[in-house]
Amino acid sequence: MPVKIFLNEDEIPRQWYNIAADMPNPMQPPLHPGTMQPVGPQDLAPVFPMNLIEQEVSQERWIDIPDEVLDKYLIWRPSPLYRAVHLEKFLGCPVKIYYKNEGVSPAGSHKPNTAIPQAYYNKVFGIKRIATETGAGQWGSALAFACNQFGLEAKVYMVRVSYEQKPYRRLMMNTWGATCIPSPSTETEAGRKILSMDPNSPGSLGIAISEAVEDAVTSEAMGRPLTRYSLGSVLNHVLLHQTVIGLEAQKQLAKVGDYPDIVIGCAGGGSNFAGCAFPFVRDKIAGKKIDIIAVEPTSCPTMTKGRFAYDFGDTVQMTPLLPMHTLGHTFVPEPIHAGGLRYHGMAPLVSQLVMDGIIEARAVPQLETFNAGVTWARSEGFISAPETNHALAALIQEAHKAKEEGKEKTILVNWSGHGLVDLAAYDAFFQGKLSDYDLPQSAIDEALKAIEAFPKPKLG
Amino acid sequence: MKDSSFSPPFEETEIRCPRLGGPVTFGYCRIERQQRPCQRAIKCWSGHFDVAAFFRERLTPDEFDACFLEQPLSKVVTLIELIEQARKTLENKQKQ
Ligand SMILES: Cc1ncc(COP(=O)(O)O)c(C=O)c1O
Repeated sequence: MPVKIFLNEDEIPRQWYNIAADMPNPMQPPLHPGTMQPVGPQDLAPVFPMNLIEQEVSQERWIDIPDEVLDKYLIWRPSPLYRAVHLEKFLGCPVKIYYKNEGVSPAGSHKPNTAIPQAYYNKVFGIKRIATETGAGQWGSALAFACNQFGLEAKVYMVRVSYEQKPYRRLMMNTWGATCIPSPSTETEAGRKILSMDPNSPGSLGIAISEAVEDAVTSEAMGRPLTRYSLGSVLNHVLLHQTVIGLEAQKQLAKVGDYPDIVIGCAGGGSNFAGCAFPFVRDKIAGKKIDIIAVEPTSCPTMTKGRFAYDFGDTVQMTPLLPMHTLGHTFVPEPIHAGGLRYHGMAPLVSQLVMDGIIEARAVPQLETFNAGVTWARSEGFISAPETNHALAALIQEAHKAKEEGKEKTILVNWSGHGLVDLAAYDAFFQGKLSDYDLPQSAIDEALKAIEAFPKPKLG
Repeated sequence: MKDSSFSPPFEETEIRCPRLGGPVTFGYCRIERQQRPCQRAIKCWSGHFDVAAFFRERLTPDEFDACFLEQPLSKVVTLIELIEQARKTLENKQKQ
């Protein structure tokens, strides 16, 4: 039984899989907030090159991966598929566990799978420079690496609070030749405005995005090299590029004559999860029996159980039966469904598949994720990114469930990245600084009271 | 907001922000969206204290709804609004 299943370089997938072609309920295009007409390619042209916008709206099932992108992918792809034999032994559950190791990329995560094609498409469109925002720096470092590979300038607006906490990701960006500055900065009007109100502003992702978009939109007029903006998750073209993960995994599993009963990935914006899962979602739509689980964080165990989780967690995130003040029109009724994935920033394709009942959304609390990460490190050896630990927590839950049910299961998990630059988070965990707090019943009752008047989610 | 005063202990407690990928205090989550709370603030902090009640005390019902109950804008719509904002910034600059 091999521990690592490799593909030869010439077995790397030559096309990405576009799930838009197979969605059971086609996605509605977003509406332009000004005209209320569906957003068209021209609306996005100030921030993305047209070749990427075409991918964003494409309905083609298969999209060719350009040779220049394949050349760069070969630096670390095909990534190995591992059989987690040591964890299997440790758990003693009737499960076969496979994991796709996306931590082998230069930036240490799945993010370069889209950073490389994005840099490439910008380059062939004549763009000289890419601006982006980053939180803790995973995306910024991936884009810095990719821009360097294609000779583009990269400018990264890093949320100040992270910039100060996380020097190593910033230094990675610098090493690849990118310029990384704390946001809010004095370099954009958006940043200057925030700083004039609060010179000590810690920044936020929202401010950093405003700065990066302003940088791109005003570049020509301000005499900077032609610049576009780039996003590391959520959008359709990002998820598309990530499908190289799941397509490779399918080939690797076929080599050992296996197929998963369960596919698991962590979901922040949804890109690594989608990348691993969408080729399997395709099989599920075609009739395969397979559980596909997107795992997101929650703060306390109480929320994952019972009525509180259902009503409160979901209603707070998802009640749309309310005036949409920001869009200037009232009352946009939409079906409400369970699953907490629709907070700001989740990929619409993933949200839709949750609503369609094809994907399960699961929330796991912080301590459980770190416990899973430590179990993993002490069995499989690799130290995972804290995001990845969410997937590992759900993996361990599923292994125990298989034991309880007395069923044999094959599980595929996407190991989205290593945690070698996130050891401070492990330190906080070891020092007991991270806590899950069992909410007192009185607080739950109070919260339930507060939502009594809200419409109840319809299931299914 | 009616009252933006806020006192510890929550300034000392850090949680991992799932959007940033690093530790933050409640002080950050409280003003994350241009001085308004992050849409996830209730979800992330309800394990630590009664954060819903905290915001109900400090926000008008309309503000509370706008912060936590409105359907968040999709990323594409957010981008289009930011493009518009950047264009206006440029126009103003060019007029000056
Ligand atoms: C290692 C790793 N995994 C997962 C994520 C979550 O992002 P996404 O849901 O887009 O894959 C991140 C985000 O930074 C990450 O760095």
